[in-house]
Amino acid sequence: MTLSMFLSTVLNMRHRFYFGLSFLFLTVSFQAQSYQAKENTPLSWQFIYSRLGFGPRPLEIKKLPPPTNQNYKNWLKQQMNPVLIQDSVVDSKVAALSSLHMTTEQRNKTYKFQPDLVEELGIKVEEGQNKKDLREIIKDKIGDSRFPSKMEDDIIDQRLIRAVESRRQLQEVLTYFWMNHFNIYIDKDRIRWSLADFEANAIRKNIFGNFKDMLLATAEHPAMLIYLDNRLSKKNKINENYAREIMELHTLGVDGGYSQNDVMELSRILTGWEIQDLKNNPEFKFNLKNHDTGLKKFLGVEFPEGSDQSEGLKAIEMLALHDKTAERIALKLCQFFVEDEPNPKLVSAVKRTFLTSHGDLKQTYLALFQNPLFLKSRLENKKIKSPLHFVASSIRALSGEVEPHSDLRKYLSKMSEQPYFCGPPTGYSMQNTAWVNAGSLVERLNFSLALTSNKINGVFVTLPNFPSAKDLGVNIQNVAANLGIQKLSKSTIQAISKELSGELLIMADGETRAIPMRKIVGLLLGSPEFQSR
Amino acid sequence: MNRREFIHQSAISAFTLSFFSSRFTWALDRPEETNQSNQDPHSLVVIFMRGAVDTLSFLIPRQEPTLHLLRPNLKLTEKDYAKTILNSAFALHPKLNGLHRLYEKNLVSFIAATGSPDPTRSHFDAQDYFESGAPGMKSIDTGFLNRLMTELHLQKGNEEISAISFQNASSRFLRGPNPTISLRSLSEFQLQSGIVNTASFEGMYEHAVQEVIRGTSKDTFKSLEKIKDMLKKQKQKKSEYPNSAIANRLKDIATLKKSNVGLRLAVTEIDGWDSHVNQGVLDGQFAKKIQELDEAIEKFVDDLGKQIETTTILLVSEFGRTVKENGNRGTDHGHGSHITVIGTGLKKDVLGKWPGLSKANLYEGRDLAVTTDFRNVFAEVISKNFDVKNFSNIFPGYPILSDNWVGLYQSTPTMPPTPTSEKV
Repeated sequence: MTLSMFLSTVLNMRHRFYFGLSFLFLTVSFQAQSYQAKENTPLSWQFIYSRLGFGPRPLEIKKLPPPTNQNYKNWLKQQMNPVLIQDSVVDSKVAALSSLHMTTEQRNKTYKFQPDLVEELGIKVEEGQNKKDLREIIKDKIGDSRFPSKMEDDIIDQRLIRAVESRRQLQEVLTYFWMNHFNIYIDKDRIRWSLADFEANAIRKNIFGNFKDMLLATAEHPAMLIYLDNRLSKKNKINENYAREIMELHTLGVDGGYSQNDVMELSRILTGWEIQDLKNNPEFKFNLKNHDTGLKKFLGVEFPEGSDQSEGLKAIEMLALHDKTAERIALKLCQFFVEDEPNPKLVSAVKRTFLTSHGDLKQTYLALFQNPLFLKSRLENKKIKSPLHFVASSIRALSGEVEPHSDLRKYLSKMSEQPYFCGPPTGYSMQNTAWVNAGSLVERLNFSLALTSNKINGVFVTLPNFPSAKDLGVNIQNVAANLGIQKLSKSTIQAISKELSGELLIMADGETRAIPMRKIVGLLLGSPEFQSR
Repeated sequence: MNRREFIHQSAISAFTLSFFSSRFTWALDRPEETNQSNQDPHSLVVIFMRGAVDTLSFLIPRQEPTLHLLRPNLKLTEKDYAKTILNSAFALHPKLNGLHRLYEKNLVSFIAATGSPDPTRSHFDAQDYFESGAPGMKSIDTGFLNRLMTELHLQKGNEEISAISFQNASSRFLRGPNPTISLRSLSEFQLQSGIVNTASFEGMYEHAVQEVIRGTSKDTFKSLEKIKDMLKKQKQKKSEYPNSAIANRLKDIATLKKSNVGLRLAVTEIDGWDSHVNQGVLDGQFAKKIQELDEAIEKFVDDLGKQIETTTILLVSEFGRTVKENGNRGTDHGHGSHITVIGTGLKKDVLGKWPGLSKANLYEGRDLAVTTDFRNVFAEVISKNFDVKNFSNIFPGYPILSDNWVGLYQSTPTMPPTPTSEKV
């Protein structure tokens, strides 16, 4: 072997060796990269606000620090102490909704059904006068500020204003969740007079507290006592409605292992839970006279004779901290914040925390929001927005504002989700299948287009700028990103481009025309990508 | 499908529609031809009374003295229902006089003591089981009417509107892979804006990322165009329907039926039956509700005209209510209910085995028992009016045998189903 041959062989070997090594290296790094490309998609405020709020507001997000894990942690901490978040615009808007800030007694004095107003104002009813005529007479005298509908307007307005504009987004989205969990139908009996208090003191007050307190607060609240009839359930004259629903819907769940006998026994335990002074100042009152003091056996536990309200408290505590309740609340939270069929590992982690913390809701939420499985779920938006979520996130994406008496209520009603108007105690469905259908899709498209044309009364939005008609595709993507859409599909870009192709955007001399933004943004809000979060 | 193709198709469908419409007018002039025509397939209309209707105040057993003892405040007497008697054993609530008139015209059969074998008294679960057609099986995600579409070879979205629901949320009955439409009403189903083309939306949703959205949208826009056309044609006709949500929905169903767009399955709902408190007797919440329903149904049947011959209406509810009234002049969740079937060729009768109301005969000692599984009622109607022989996919795990049918029809179904392999 000559030297040259030797050298070339070595070189060859080295070459081969290096080649082999670099090939190996490339393969490994490529795999790692593609793996990391998914896993390392950085946390984004868009994701955080889409899940833990009613969608991102571009201007608000701009002011936030980079969404590192630490900053996310700080954000959660702040959101879970909402009083620390300055929210003056919303505070002043809500302050103007007078009926919300009265005591229940004041509300009963102020807002009255028409016949009561007729009597109070001393209006003489003449022959042939119908309801409409009388309403006009009342209006002439004192305006329409004392009709019960004012309470309805105010409570709906505060929810919509807060959902869209509040900086306390986690509080708002959780209010939505729990108000739906403990659904109350505003239109039953005299619930209107108590509902604002129910939301403020039974739900909002306990959102970052303990589930047990929230459950008890709802059980004793006039709004719930009216809604599920428990105020009327008396010894030997029981009404099973509430006893069934507190187990099926509020705690254990329908497969929670209770029997018809448990329903009847719990009904007996909860007898005498009444409302005093329903018409003037409705308040919870335990009435021993109507309480069934006999022996009961509920969920395998004996409730001895000679009982009073304390046995009801004991039963509610049993339900609040029951294993099946923990499972159900964990599942519902995961379904609401992640997807309809969440990873069982995630559910059981949340459930464990609920149990070990004895129903501490802050800890329970954190077990979900900081769970790696939750963070990983940012890679795919699997949850279809409910109508409220869709409407609020559309307006937020366009930095919009909502005034009282806006037309949003009308649009939500057409999308079948008018706040406080769900009749059945199940609350509105939070499952994808309920909201995806031809009718609702068309309503959403109509809403989007009306919104971007600023044609919805009481709602004002600002359309984003569109830099140039050149590179249309890229620019559409940018606008979409600003609306909080992670990734835009080809077909959406194509559809929008096609829609614009009818219009001459670039003149022969290269000058560009005004871009029809309302069209582009309207289509983007109506696109499939914007329907999920 | 590109935009051009879509417009092309819409044009075809508009043409087809006008063709069918003119043909239908022609058929009306010659009633004897209607049945032979293939253009008017049989349609099933299901009305779900959500919230558990009090069956014992709807279809009142006349020979149950215990009922008066158990319901001192809710009882109806012979005098009350003198004008709405069905037979020696049953009468209708006096507010159901429209339904009674239809009964007198041989258009109605009642099946007493129907329901599901599942013991649940949860509204949600019972409704879910009813609509999935699979009581006790939570894993069955599709609705049985969607599975029926498979048997009727309606898997592909075509130019017809074969299955539709008019209610607030998507229909559980119709959930599944076969193309269906869920709307709140025909008039609301319009793109209002005029800013953009429906074709743009169609394009966006054609390849939508979410499977659920895609399933919906494919037919959304096709039907959008069709229905628009249809409404234009029918604007001139003024309706005399009463003003209620259920009447509006039935009116929309009648509109589709009369337009001959291939309607096979229509689903709608009426809620407000959960009468735990002050149910009322001759007046009150229950009476108001059935009157609303009664007026809507009578008008609907009238509106269908001759086409009632190719329509079957089923009136159902998830379960019944307690035999004994509760402490608040109301009733709590019970078990057995009843089904009302409206159409032609039916026996003018109250069918099904009546289990009686004596304590020993009550379900769990308190509720009306179930003697006819609701699936058998549906199976008999389907077997009679559609070319379906095998029910093993429609009602999984529940063998359908014609021996278990109540015999709804004056003539027995021409094609009794072949017993499924599960037969024991």
